Amino acid sequence: MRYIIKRLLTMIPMLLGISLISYCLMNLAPGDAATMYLNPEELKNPVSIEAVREKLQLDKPVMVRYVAWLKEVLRGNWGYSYLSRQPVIKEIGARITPTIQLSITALLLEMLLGVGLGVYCAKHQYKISDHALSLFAFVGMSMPSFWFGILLILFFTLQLGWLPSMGLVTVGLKGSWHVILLDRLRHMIMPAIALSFAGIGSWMRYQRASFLDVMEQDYIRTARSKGLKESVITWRHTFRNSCIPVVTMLGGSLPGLVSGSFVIENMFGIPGLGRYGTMAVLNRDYPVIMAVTLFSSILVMAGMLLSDLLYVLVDPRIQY
Amino acid sequence: MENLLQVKNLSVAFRTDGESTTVVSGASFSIKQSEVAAIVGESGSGKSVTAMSLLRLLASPPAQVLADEMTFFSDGASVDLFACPDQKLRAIRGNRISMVFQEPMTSLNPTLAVGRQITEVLQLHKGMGRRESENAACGLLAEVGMTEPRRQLGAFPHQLSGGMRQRVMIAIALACRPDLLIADEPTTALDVTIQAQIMELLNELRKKNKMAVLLITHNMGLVAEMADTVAVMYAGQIVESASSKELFTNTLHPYTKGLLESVPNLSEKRKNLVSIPGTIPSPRAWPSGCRFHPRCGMCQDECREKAQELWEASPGHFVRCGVQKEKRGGDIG
Repeated sequence: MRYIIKRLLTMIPMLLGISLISYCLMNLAPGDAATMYLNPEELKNPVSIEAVREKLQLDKPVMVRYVAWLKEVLRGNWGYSYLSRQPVIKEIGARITPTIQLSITALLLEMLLGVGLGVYCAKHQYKISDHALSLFAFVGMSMPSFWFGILLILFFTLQLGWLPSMGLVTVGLKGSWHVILLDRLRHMIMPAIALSFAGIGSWMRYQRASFLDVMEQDYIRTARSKGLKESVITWRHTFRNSCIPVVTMLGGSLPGLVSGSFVIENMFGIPGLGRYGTMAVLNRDYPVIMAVTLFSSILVMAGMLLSDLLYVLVDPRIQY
Repeated sequence: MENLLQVKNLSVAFRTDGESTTVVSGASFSIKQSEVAAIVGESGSGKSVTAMSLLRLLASPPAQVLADEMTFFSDGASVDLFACPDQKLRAIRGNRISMVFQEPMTSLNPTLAVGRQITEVLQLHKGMGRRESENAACGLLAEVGMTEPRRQLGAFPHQLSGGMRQRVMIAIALACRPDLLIADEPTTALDVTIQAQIMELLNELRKKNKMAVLLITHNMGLVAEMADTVAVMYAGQIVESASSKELFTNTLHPYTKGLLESVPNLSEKRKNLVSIPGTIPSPRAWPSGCRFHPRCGMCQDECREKAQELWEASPGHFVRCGVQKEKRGGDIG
């Protein structure tokens, strides 16, 4: 418990650092937020541009603006989107669920398929199936997700017509809860696969290596000398020990998932945090960029904390 | 007494990169019920590999084991450990024959409580339920001298010292009251004070359970103390075997003599420790003729060329040395 509190407290300076760096980087980027704020009609009038600059305090130095922004955020005011003129926090709230949904689905796919196939490969080391799956893993790791996503859409939507390529739900669909759930799942399949494909490959390779390493350990020989069946040796003795180094990967794969969702959400038209953030960047929507950055950071940090806590469950030697 | 295990012509080779290296060649020995048989030798002599191959614990590939016979007699029936199907062997492993390994630090599963590592054997071979096996495991821990057995059932290996872990290993090995315990250098990795405790414990439990022990060691003192019969291994071959008493009073092979002389002795005043010159050769290049000849003080021309056979110097005492045979032959003939 004390450990968790300590970890939560260390998140505060980290978030401050992240916000400062992203605020500066954002202002270094070329483009003028004031011109994006106005419609083309108003843009013709230089006076109104100046007025907007003053209103948004864009005429002040970066540091002054950062401190002002931070003060407001600490008071719980995340500001208004330049684009929609809506409160940022409200818009984030509506968009965070699809992103979490997509990330968790992709993470589960990575873990289950990666770990499962990794164990399978280790048990069939140097057989044809092992070589084939390794090839599959390397293809997955080296193929960009946006390109793989396009291939999926080409094949499953345009060729076969099996899966929808856009959005979260079919618009106007009515029915009982399981029809809705099935519809949501059908929308989630392709984005989740595109997002997790690279991850499955690397989880698989890690799990394979770790499992093979554990198979060589003395205590596996002990287990064999006890007369245990091969299946018991695999699952009770080898599997759990082989998961210890792989759990560290959990924390490491989260940033990839969150940043990957920026690309994937745009491609599959999912109204999540990633798509919202991308639009904000293109429109120099400063309050939104900051909010999306911080919320993604919090997601990643929470996930890392969770994976560190998971360690305790897997390895009895670790205690916090 | 009845034979418990009879091994004839056991050979072990390791195949790596298409090249086969013979590590143990033509070892034959037998163990009688409730006796202590020792296999002695330096590191690399093939003694551990011999022990592992009895329960087919060597990974194959790379290991290739061959034997004319590896018969184990238990409950009035005999099983050929070399040829029997895996299922039959699994029923013997941990049940009728069990093993204690050299490294207590790495031989226990780090993620399972030690209690579970004992109960799983009882549940598997004795068909015990959870509660019953836990009670039995608790009794076993007390038997091997753990101070708080009930609490220590839930301990993980990293919470125990090396000596305690070896006690747990012994408890696992003893769980099903086996006929034969293979102890592969059970004390090598432990502190000297703990070594004596563990050997004493093993000896005591052996007597109580009327269990035979195959003791793999390089410690001649230990052999003198515990063993009924001894086989000395050098470079993958048994070079001398006899009852312990005969071997120590009437040592014939020059290698065995060297081993005995290199045991430090407090009663004699010697300036330097005695050692056998040279090192054990690599299995990739065993010397021609007698494998010990490059290090032997008695070496003669013939030893360099002709491979030596075991011969019976006196009833039950076998030696692989031609020079001794000639000497003896002269004496008798």
